Amino acid sequence: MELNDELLCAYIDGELDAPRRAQVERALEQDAGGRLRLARMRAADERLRKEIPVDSNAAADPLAQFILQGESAAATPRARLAAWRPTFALAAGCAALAFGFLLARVGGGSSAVHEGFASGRLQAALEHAPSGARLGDEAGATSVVLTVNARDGRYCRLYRQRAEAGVTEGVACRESAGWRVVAFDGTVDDAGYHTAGASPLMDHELDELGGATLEPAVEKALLAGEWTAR
Amino acid sequence: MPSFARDLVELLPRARRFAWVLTRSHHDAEDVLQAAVERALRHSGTWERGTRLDSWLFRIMQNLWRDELRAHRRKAEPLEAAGEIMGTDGREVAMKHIQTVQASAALSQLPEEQRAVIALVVMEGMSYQEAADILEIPVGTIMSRLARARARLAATLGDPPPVRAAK
Repeated sequence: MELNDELLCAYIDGELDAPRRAQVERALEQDAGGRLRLARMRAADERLRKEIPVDSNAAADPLAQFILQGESAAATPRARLAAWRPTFALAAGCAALAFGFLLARVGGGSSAVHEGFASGRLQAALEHAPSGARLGDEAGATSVVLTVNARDGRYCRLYRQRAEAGVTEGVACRESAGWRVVAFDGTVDDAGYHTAGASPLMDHELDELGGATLEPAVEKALLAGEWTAR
Repeated sequence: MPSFARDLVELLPRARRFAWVLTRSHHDAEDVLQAAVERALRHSGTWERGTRLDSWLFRIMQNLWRDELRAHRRKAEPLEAAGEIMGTDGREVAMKHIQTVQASAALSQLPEEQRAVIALVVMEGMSYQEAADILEIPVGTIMSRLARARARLAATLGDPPPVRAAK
């Protein structure tokens, strides 16, 4: 049984009936990669729930007062409340500013794609950089999100490039002549400090290429071995 | 005796979080939430007692954002002074702050349609069918968006606890 991401999700979310659940558990026993992907998904879920919690300090909420007292909305000014800050809202502001800062620092419009193949900083990132964007990363304008082993055997990577104009996402696959950019989406997000949204078009491209996302250990070994599988 | 107004007030914290995940902006989230509350109070007669109030309100919020408010979204607001979030153990709070920024940033990078599904299924614990009803899309679409979202999130947030080796 192929433990694809949708099946793992349904398993995590308790959406499988008992027979299917048992099938998945049997398959997991034989599939260390599947177990690791499952653990990573669960860990990410936990972090989201823990680090973006609900703020239950409703006592200070003027919206609550408005509902309970039935005052008209126009009479209740929605001023900023210095005394009350949901943790996650402040964190959102921090994240937005951090990425806005990165956007402002990166300059240059050097073409990263030459006749369909990645060059310059993009090529270097695809060839050498481990996946996983971290704030303050020295990689600067280019970061790699994840690596897949495509159905046709090529290694393909989802990358993001920041420039003055905005953020580009693309997918490139490693071939003998170099990293071929098979798709990219240069849609600019015009929301100021926000990070640009990820591109559903790139997700579709990854679906078309097929294959599974590589685990960090596997990816690390590939990078160390210059992309030669064992 | 339970009252619609009191039930609505109880929902506000969760609704506010959902609004923030949708809009990625504290200010836009408050806009969506207030507009949704106003609409909920105006149309309280159309809510069927015994059905889920949260699903009803979340659907109102999602529709308002999609149909009316998204076009007028504002830019992010300036960061408040960092001193506001320091606690007694400065180092511990700083680490926690970094982690919160990472989770928020990872979530913010998802396309809006994936953020909505993550918010409902992972953060609110709703079933696929409940999420499908709120977002007015098929369950199959919920599943594919969830799988894509989790693949991205696992890549940035998913450092797992140690895995036992297979026997």
